[in-house]
Amino acid sequence: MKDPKNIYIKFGVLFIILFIAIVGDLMVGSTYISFDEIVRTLIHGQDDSVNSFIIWELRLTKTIAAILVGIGLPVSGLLLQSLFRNPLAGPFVLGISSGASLGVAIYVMAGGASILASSWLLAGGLSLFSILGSLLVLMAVLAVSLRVNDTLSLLVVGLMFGSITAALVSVMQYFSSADLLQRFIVWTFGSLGGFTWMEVSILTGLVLISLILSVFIVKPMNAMLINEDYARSLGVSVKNIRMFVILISSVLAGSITAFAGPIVFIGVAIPHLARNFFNTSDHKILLLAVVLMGSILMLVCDIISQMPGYATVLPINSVTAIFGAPVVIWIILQNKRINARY
Amino acid sequence: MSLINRKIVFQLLLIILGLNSCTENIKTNYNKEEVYQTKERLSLFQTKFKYIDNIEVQNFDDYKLVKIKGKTSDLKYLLFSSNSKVDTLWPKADFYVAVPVRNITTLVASSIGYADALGCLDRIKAVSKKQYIYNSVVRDRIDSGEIVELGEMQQLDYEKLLSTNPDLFIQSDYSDNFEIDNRVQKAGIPTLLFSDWKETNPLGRAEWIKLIALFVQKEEMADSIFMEIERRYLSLKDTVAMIDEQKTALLGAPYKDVWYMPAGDSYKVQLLNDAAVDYKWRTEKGNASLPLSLEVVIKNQVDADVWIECPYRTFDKLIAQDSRFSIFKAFKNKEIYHYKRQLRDDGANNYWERGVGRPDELLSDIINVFHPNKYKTEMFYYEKLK
Repeated sequence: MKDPKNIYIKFGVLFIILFIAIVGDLMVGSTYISFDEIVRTLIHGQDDSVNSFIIWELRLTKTIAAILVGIGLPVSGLLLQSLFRNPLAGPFVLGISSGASLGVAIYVMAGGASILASSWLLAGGLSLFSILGSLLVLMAVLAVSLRVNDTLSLLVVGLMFGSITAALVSVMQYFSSADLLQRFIVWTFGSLGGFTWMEVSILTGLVLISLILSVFIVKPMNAMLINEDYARSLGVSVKNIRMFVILISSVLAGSITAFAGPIVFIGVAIPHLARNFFNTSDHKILLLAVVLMGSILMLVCDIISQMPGYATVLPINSVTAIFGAPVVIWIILQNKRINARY
Repeated sequence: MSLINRKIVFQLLLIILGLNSCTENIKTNYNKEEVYQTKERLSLFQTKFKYIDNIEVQNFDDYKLVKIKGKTSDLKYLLFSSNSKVDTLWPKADFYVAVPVRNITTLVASSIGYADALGCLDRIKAVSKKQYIYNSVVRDRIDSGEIVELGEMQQLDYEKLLSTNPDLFIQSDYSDNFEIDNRVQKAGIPTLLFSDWKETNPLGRAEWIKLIALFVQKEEMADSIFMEIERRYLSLKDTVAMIDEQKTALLGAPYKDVWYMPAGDSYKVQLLNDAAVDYKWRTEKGNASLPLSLEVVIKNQVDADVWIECPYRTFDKLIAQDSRFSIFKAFKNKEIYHYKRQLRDDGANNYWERGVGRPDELLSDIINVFHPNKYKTEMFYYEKLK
């Protein structure tokens, strides 16, 4: 905002880091495949070799998944934080992530899986239940948002919905057998490794649509960040924007949670990093910034979770929080005025 | 008259005799019961363990001392005849159990298998849940109300447990230091911590039948059952001992991109070794599972010949779970087996109830799968995916 040249340089740097992170993520795995071979395989397409299968079906899908998660959750977090003018807002605050967990819990532990007997439904069954769960909570929040005018009340209502769904999940956990419980717990660890090309393409579609839609509300969001009354005076329909934001963020959070598990951390953290790095609250800049920074952070976390040299992988949810949270704390300590931006 | 008299006397005699025989009958029955009672001395049989090294049994005149050694402490059971009383001079033990026990509550699936083999299913009066039980006798008794359902350990119905008033409570032990439920202990119910799953040798696991046998006083029977299982196991092992050609095995299935493979010291790997099957991670230390990334498994074992213990029963379900499984040679050759041949509709699998205590049957299945030319019988628990 203040110095356009400075901003271009910063974006340039982010793009370069993103590229390095993508290459790094493709390079690192539990087995060694040389850089040459990776490039060759990517250029020539998939053949019958094992390495080619690993690169195309395991690593590339995982890298794209990391980027999609790194885009989707922070965008959803950014929109919600601005809407609620609250630095703690994120997909999980509205109960959207809890709703997705509820769907998965019903699927895994309460016999939801047995309803979907046919195999093609079974493949997407988990995701279907997860999206249905988040939609359920979303509808409830939307219904409430039509009746209350003030965003802070909506935030509290969202928290309450989150508590209810979390409690229902606990009840199911309490009554389910050890092996089902284990399946559910493993899902809550989060994973980028379960993505096949089908899941990648579904998620790519959803993230792209949401991203394009968010570009259209950049201007009214800027106005709303100043003040809802100010936005109204500019002719912005606050109610519509609010519904729009909730819709976009729950589609993003719901679908990502479905495929990758409840990775809640980066949705809250990345918008803060972006605001600090660019020292602005302009959504035009922030939107691109969270997209880049979110992708980079997810890729780096994925590289760390691979624990280079080991045959096993760490759960991605723990990695994002253990390595990501200290970074956020450090940045906040550097720049002690989060409140000033709301 | 005299004839009539004689007749009467004869009839009277008959009656008396009849009565006599009746009373005798009652008396003998009574005596039998008494004899049964008085005969309930401790068996003289000395139980010895061949493959389990942390359980020890010592016979004394009027009691037996069973010691299960743990990492930090030991668990001691003092078994005495149910018609004698606890003697204050006896050594200290964690539990004083009057044997034979007649009213057993068990939450451990394999213990039902052992009780069945020992012919004392009728002593089981309470179990966890019907959906975990395969045995049809036990299931019928649950339906008729003779056997009570208590729920799993985490949400055990204590009131029901106390109302069935068991002589012995059998539960699994997932700790290193013998975690005994306080409430059960306070109620004065002896707990048998049943950790057969910790054994790394399949025969060691089967030998846990001897521990159950001590409590129901069928030690000699358990010993001969075990010897027969051991004999069959070792002879099966011999039939494949000389085989040169070794096929490789994949075990289990991944969730997302983590595949939990058994480490080298697990009893499953021991079974594979004895069945002359090659397994990539046989040299990995430990008896837990190795969390391997799918990438590592594909890179190293994409050409594994056979995939066993797959949790899905059809190829459709398997591929629906993750389409990437199609890369495996075992998938292309349709050489994938699950272990749910004996499965109830509600999910109870006899593999966990009888199978784990019958390593001879497990070995037979594995040899059937990997060396069909050498050995061919009907399979017990394994079955090819449809």
